[in-house]
Amino acid sequence: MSPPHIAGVGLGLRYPLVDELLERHAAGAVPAIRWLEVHPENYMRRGGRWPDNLRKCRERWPIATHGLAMSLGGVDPLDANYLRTLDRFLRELETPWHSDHLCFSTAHGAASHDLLPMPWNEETAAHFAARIRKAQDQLPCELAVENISYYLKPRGSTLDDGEFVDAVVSQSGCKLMLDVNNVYVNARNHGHDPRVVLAKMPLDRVVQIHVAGHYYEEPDFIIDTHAEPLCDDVYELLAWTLERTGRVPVLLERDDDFPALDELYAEVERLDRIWRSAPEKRPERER
Amino acid sequence: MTDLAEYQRAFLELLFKKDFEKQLAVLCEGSTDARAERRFRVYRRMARHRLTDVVEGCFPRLAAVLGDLEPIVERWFDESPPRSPYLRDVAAELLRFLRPDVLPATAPPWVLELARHEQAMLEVEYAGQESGADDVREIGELDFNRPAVLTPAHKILRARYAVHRLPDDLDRDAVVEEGPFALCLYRDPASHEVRVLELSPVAAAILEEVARGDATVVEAVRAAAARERFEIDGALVGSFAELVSDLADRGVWLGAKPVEGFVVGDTR
Repeated sequence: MSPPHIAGVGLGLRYPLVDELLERHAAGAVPAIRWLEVHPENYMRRGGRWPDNLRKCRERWPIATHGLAMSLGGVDPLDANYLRTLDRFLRELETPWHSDHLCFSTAHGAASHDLLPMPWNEETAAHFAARIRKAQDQLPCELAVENISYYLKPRGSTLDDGEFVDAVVSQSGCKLMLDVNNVYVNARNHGHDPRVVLAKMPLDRVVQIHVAGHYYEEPDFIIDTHAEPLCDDVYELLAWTLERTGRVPVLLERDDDFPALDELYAEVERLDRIWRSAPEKRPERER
Repeated sequence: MTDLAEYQRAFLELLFKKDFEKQLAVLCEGSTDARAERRFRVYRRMARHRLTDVVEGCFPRLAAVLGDLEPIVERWFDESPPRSPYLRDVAAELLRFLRPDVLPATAPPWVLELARHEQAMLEVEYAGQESGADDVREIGELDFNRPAVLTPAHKILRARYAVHRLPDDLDRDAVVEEGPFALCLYRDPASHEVRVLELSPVAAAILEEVARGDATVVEAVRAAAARERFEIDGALVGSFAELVSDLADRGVWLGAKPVEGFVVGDTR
């Protein structure tokens, strides 16, 4: 079997959605959901209903993977056991690419289970790039990195989001998993223009886009919860981005406070209309 | 890179340490972001909230009995924070941390066994993928002159209290029968639900020996008899055959190890 072709709009596969998604698919009721994305950590080293669900979904949809635990910015060595298990999982699933985050989540042996920000500067960009290359050598498919949402800019930051992502991607040669919602959240929280930030990113390296909802904790402070519907601004920013990347796959992330599938599906259909109105995917420029 | 290492150490300690003000000061020192302190506190709140939620989901009955797991979880964060990259492993990590002195003085005496039971249920629910459970399910043959293959999705538990009989909506005043008890927790292959089977002491001893996987079934029965001082007579053989049949129906006893790679008498 060759890696599945992933195009159009997909949905993050979360446990509360599985049964209804499979039922609707059998009834032909969710045609706009063209692929799914899973967090490998939910399935690795796990038997029973989880691999069973994944097998059923894999028979029906192409699947991409999005990791949470590589800690690419960490100072501890990359976790060799984790990478071996991930390699096996990705080979079995035949995913076309795998993504993880531009953050650290573990340090000195402790695991935060969170996506923690680093100082955005040339030194940390080089640190990320070196670890991305090491991780890439141990994986069977292309590695893409995601720009995270962050709530403070640590001391020592000298680059903005766009410059930092561009530096990491250029130095490592990896692909970009562009989270448009994160760009929006960061822009609102830190007073940037999201389009200026996006214009600095290597948009020709984007293999996939994430969108999600967020929550206003205060009038000028957004938390990236993935537990609310998408806002109009993010739809607009997605359309602006797709104009520049061309039609790369778009994934709706919903991780909490799950609404009825009909509500999620309405979001997928709106995303699908935006995706279809975008131009063909643009080729990568030579570097 | 030392600065980066120190930054990351301070950040993790900010998330997990009870007294974190020093780390907060280190992280905010020299920051030009006026909101830095408040935002670091947001990270601390969110990380702790997420992990506490997961722990409460893993130990619902323990939470019901103790009323609030937060004091225990807070102490766990402070003394021995999570290490595994897999979020679901927090249940096993917390269980390793649990000991009488971190429990409230008023906790019932069976609370640690309840926690162990809830974690074992999760362990059985998740078990299998690495051990090739789907493959060994195909073995199917019974041969007591070879080692047996049991599903990886099972666990034999010995318990002093009948915490496995407690209802889901229990409270700290629940009456719990004192044993001893021996249990086989296993995952139903069709529904993936975890079930609990009470075993006699003899059946538990034999299964513990069989589960080691290195001796023939006959040798395992003999070892159990020597350990627990019971006679191997016709009645025992009959009961054992019934047990094996029952366990095979439940998807626990999968069959005999293939002949390849096993030599009779090899008990390594």
